[in-house]
Amino acid sequence: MAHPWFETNKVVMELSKVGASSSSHNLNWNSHSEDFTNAIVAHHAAMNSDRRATAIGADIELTWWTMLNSKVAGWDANVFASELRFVLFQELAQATNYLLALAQPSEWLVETMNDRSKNVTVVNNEWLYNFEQFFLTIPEIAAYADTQYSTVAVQDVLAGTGAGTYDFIQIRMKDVLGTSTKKLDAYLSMLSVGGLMQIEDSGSYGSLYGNHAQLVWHPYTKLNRHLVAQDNLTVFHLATDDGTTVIRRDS
Amino acid sequence: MPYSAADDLTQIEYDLANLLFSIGLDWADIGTITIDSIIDRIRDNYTMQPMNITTPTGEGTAGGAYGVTIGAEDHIQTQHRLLARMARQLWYRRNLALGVS
Repeated sequence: MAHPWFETNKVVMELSKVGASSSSHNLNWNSHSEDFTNAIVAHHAAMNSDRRATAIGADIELTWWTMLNSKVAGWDANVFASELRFVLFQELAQATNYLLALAQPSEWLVETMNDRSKNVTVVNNEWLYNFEQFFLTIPEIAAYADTQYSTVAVQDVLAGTGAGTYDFIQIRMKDVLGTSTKKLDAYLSMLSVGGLMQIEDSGSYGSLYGNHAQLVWHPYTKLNRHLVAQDNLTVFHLATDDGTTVIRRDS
Repeated sequence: MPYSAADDLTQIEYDLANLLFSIGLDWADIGTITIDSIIDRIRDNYTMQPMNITTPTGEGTAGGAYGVTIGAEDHIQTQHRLLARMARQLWYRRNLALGVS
């Protein structure tokens, strides 16, 4: 049986409208995204990724593409709901200078990259590789005439390059996971005053919400509490299927 | 600038080296270290040892679901989960970055 959130997200998909199916802001999980997923699963197989339990454990991040590829019922709605939030917060922010740790394979993002009133910077990680190799190469996506974006290495984020200049930042909690809050602080420092940051998976795909003891036990608790402890931030933690945190830098 | 496997790998291996150091392994041995040995070391160093409190028959083992843990053991469990998650993700991402570098 699929997770209840998959059923919930089917309703999200049915009752949301983000552009027409073949025009702007297309978030529908279509052949583009399916081709993308298939290509990534094939790539991971070619890389001879270790799939044993001791190597990937119960880490959903490491099994996500395989899960999508297996067409678990509700999978398309699950992706849609995640991308919906991604677009929602950016539309509300009316941002012009983006820093994204997650190059999502959506036409919405490609259109943003083709909008010369906006600057998109993508963090150098495996998602960037996937985006460039398996999404931008799809003929319909490659047909966009003026796709432009910059890249930045995590090392440069840690060094403070571009600090205080981005009015929309998107990361996942896994991007800042560590024994300290160093990376989280570095990404927060990138945010301009008044800018918004969206953190995906701040609820660890729901495992933070299993019971109240997780507020003590869970390795994400420390990072989430660190956000709340900052004087210059307004923090909204939304208990979505994966967990979503939206942050505004106030000063 | 397109994806740089070299830059990606530099950061991943920096993070992995720090993690190895924190569990008593040495980056100099990366040629022989496996994900199995990393996870084993985390289990060795951060395994919860529940208090030996008797629980009613059929209601879990001592210190288990119906048992009692102290704060220090909760902390050990949290560290275990954090380090194992970090190790698996870094190992996986390192493999991908090495594969395209």
